[in-house]
Amino acid sequence: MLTADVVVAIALGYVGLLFLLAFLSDRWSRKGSRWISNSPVIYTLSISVYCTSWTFYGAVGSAARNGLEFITIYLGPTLVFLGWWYLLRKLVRIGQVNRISSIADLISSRYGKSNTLAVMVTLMAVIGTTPYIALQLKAVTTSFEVVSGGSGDLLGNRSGDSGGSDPALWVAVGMALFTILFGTRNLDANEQHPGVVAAIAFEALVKLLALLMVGLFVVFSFGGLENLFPEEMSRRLLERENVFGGRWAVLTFLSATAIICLPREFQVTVVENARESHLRTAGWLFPAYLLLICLFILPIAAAGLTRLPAGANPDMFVLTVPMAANQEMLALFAFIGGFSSATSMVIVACIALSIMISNHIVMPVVLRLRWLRLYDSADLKTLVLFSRRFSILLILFLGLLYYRLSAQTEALASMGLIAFAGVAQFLPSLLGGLYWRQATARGAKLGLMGGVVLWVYTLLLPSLAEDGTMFGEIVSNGLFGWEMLRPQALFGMTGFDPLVHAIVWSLTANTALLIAGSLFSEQAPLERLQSALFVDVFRNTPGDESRALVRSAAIDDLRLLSRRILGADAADRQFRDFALRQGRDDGVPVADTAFITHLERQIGGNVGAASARVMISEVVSGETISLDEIIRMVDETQQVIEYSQALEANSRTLEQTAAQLRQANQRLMRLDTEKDDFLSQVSHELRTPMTSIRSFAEALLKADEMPPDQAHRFMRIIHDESLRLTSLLDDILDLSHLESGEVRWQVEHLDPETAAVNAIAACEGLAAETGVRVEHVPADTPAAIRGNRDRLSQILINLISNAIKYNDSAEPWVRVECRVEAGRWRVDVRDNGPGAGDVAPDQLFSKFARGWRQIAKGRSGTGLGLAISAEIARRHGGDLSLTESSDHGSCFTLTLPIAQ
Amino acid sequence: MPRQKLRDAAFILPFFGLILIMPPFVDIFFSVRLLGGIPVILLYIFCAWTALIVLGWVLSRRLVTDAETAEPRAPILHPMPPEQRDADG
Repeated sequence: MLTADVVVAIALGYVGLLFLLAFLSDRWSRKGSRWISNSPVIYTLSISVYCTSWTFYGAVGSAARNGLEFITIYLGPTLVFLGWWYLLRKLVRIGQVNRISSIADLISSRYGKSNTLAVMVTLMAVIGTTPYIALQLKAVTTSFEVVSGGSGDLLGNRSGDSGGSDPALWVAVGMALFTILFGTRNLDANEQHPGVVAAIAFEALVKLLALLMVGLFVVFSFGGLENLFPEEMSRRLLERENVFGGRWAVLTFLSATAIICLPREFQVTVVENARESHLRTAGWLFPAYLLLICLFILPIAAAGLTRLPAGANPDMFVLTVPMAANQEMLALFAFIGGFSSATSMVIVACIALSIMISNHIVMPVVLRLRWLRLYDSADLKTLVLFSRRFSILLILFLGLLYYRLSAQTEALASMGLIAFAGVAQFLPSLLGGLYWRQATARGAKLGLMGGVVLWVYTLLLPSLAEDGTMFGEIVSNGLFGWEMLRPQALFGMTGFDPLVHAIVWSLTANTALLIAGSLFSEQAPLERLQSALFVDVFRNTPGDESRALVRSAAIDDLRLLSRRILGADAADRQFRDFALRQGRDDGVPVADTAFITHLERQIGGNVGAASARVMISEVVSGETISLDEIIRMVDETQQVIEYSQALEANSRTLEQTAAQLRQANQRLMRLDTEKDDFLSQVSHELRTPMTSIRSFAEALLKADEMPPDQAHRFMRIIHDESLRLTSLLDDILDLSHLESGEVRWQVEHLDPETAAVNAIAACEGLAAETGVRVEHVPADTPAAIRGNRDRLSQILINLISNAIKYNDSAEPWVRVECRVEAGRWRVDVRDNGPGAGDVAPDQLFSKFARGWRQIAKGRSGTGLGLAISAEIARRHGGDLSLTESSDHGSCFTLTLPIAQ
Repeated sequence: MPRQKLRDAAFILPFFGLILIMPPFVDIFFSVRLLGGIPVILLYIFCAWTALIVLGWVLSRRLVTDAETAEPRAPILHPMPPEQRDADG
């Protein structure tokens, strides 16, 4: 039998354990042990502060009342964490780079460190969170009463007074103590609280384990799922009208939004994040945690509906189901699980809210009212800590007050979703700030304001309304009695679930106002700078902004200011470190723009960006924000992208060019070799006749009395050799003129057949001399070409005379076949000679290539004939090629275009 | 998988999940009949959920090795001034 005393003792013992754990973790981390901040699992577990008592008790209640709907609350966050790479990673990076201390700080920083925005977000967060804290207090009280009331009271309907001792009050006091002790122990530039995180992670394990054990107990005590879930029960729980309708979608969306925008979630996910890489684990582990939480919700609901008397409170099934089976220890463990989920939420929410209140409401007021006096004397650090502690007390007091005022009404139960809808109003400004460069502070303010007003009007007000009161009147008849303005059917939008209705109106208005406000207002310079820093956080190099924000200050003023906020030790360390970074070993940094920006960020980590800016502005002189630099920064990141794309394209072109160059180089090398060949060949060719000329000339000179006929023979040889030399030189000159295009010849319409006839006639003497038979096969159709008659004949004479000269077969013949083919005039000069050997065709036509030497070997002629002929053919737009070559003959083909 | 494809996959995953749990797809599996003692719709949601977690796990492991090599961000290339770029381009 559990008595109230036993339960209180165990709860106190548990709280004591938490204190010990937090204390030890704090001490370890102070000593430099980093296992808490190094562990991605602890980080993930701390995120599960999302699962409050509203989950622990409420999910089963919701499942019993509304079936499957409860699961949307966990599907939304699952999706957000699965997409961690895009949204959460950016949030965490921005949070770390800019030392963001809360969601209010984030939004205010992004929109030009606007304090107005910070105050709006803070107030909204307090309004959304206070009832939620009240909800936790109520859950603890109710569960305490149920579990200590003994197994006699299974309805679980008790609430309100429990005779003198009020658990809610004591829980509030205990949590205030815990939060003040471990949440405001000191001012940390990162706003990280390892002790709190360790305690929260521990509580996350406890609540999960408790829920799983109750679930397993239920499944086993029923002897398996079959008995627990007969089809009739499945029908009763799950069969609802239109399960996957608008409400399903909106609830999923809301929960996805809440995991980003809830102040406590922002605190654990972004602010307490020690390493960006922890998100990798959280990205799948947190969804897995949520899945485990949901696993036994429906079985427990089914068990409650089966085993407990009708009218039992489904919100307490987690406790009453084990109690009905007389499992007191299990019920006690379940109570501790619920207690864990409630306390962890209260602790983190208080820390997050106290940071927001002290940074964005207390500090600005203090700075404005009493700046001079504070500047002279007081220690701002103590003031900040004091305002934090005071804020925590205030928040818990508000929560307690709300709980006392509304504990008897049903208003509290629906508070969870209403709070979600409230913080969802941060979403447009947040996402706009993260992804839209042009979003302005005015747009954010308008959007937030519009969204909150509609949220209050369409959701909060109806939830507080009772019949007969003024609110009730408004809900049923509209504001001022205008039907159009009924909060739950605004402008005649009827037939929707009130929550869907409110979300659609408030978020649409919020987003529309943000966009319109941004489009129709200008960003202030600082806003523009911050927008560039936030949107391009992955592309900017740290310290970039100091280029755009130029200012200077006296180093002593800066030291005084930072000592009073960061504390003497921390401030001195910052100064020393930065001096080293500047390369100065006297420990006094130069108060340049970069250092001031760095210091502002450190201070901002403690008091929020807006307050830090006000403080720094007091000691800074001559601040200028260079718009050009901001624009350049934004442009540069853009340019870097474009540039790297251009670079890629360039490198592709370069590769192509390199390939082309390689080819060209090879060609040049080949040409170079050819040229060398050419020169050596020419020298050789010139040398042979020159040698013989010289030797015969010497013989003539020496021999005084040479017989006249011998002298005559010698002179004949000298004459012939000179002729050969001249013709060689003529050919070389001719070829070089042809190649350089210097030769101009007369072009006329002519019948190529006549050129062939002329060429054959010219070679007749040679043919008769060697006994070669020359045949002419004329074309069937007459054709005309444009060209030079003599040059054309030159080609043909060259081909025919070659064919005659080199023909050494027994019955030598040469056939000249003309025909018109595919718009070209074609002539084949065919012979039955020895062929061209194994010379490559392209070498055959190049001047003095190796092939040339082989062909010309031992034969008369300069060997330039083919090269010259090919060049002439090319200049006629035609082509000369060797089409056949074998031991039994060869065939040279000349084709020329027919004139139109 | 190349880095860009992994990132694309990481981007797509939540939307894929959204499609799985939103009508019309979820409607297909809406049945209160039992399969092994569990209502079909519940079985579907938990299976889809598990599949998403496994996919997320696989992706995050890949993105780990990938990002760690890329994390010490390369110094930003300072683009050439336009006139120089034109001359070179």
